[in-house]
Amino acid sequence: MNKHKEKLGLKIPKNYFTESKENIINKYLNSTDKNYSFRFYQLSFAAIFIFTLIYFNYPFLERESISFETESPIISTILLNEEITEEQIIDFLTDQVVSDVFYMPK
Amino acid sequence: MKEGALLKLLKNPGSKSEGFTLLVDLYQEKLYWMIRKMVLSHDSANDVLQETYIRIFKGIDNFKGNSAISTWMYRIAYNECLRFLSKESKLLRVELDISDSDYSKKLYADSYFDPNELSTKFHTILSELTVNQRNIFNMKYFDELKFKEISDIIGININTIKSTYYLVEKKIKKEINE
Repeated sequence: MNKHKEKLGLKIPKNYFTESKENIINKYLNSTDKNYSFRFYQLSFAAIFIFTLIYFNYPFLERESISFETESPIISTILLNEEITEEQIIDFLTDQVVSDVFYMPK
Repeated sequence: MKEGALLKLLKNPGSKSEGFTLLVDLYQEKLYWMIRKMVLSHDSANDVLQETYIRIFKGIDNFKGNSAISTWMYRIAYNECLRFLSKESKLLRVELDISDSDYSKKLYADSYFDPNELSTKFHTILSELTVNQRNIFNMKYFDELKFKEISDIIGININTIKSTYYLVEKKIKKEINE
């Protein structure tokens, strides 16, 4: 490219093309790094957003707390893995009736 | 290296960096000189060259191979020069059919311009040409591009490019030999 100097008088700094090449390659490498990290943040944000959306919009995912009356012979036998007898059931129901009927307010 | 092999390197994510380094090795100097003759100062040419390569990198995935990769790169560089010149002159677009009234001012302001008798003659003639005529002459005479390539780069009919070049060449030969 000497004709640019001879015929047009255009000069360039010493080692210009070597330094310029390094600059261009560095810019390229930086931009690819930025692209990857930008994509990582984009994907993370998208995942969190989708999870939040699902969590708040689908009530079936919510766990309902169920309370058991542990004194009930049916429940207690299930919990304790025992066999339920008619006697136990009758006792329980009689107790319930008695406590309902003879409830004395303070 | 053949263009097909170079494109393969550029399209493959694993070898993209290698392909891009080759693009810089092969075309950096050629693109610089094309840009320098359009923007005139070294510092501006350096800025435009860097910007050109950023655009090449960003656009390489969309390159369909409808033209040679060198033509595609020259076209990006040419458009980047026009963008720079319009920003510099604070105009929406560069007037290509008139001469650049600031040509000599920009040239002599550059610390990397070292005039001699021949270059002064050349620049006197070049400064009188329209921007299009000057670009066509420079691309053919100094950058040694083919008429078809010049036509693809600047988007002007190939016959107009040929007639413009021969007209300018005749004028320059006449004035330099005087």
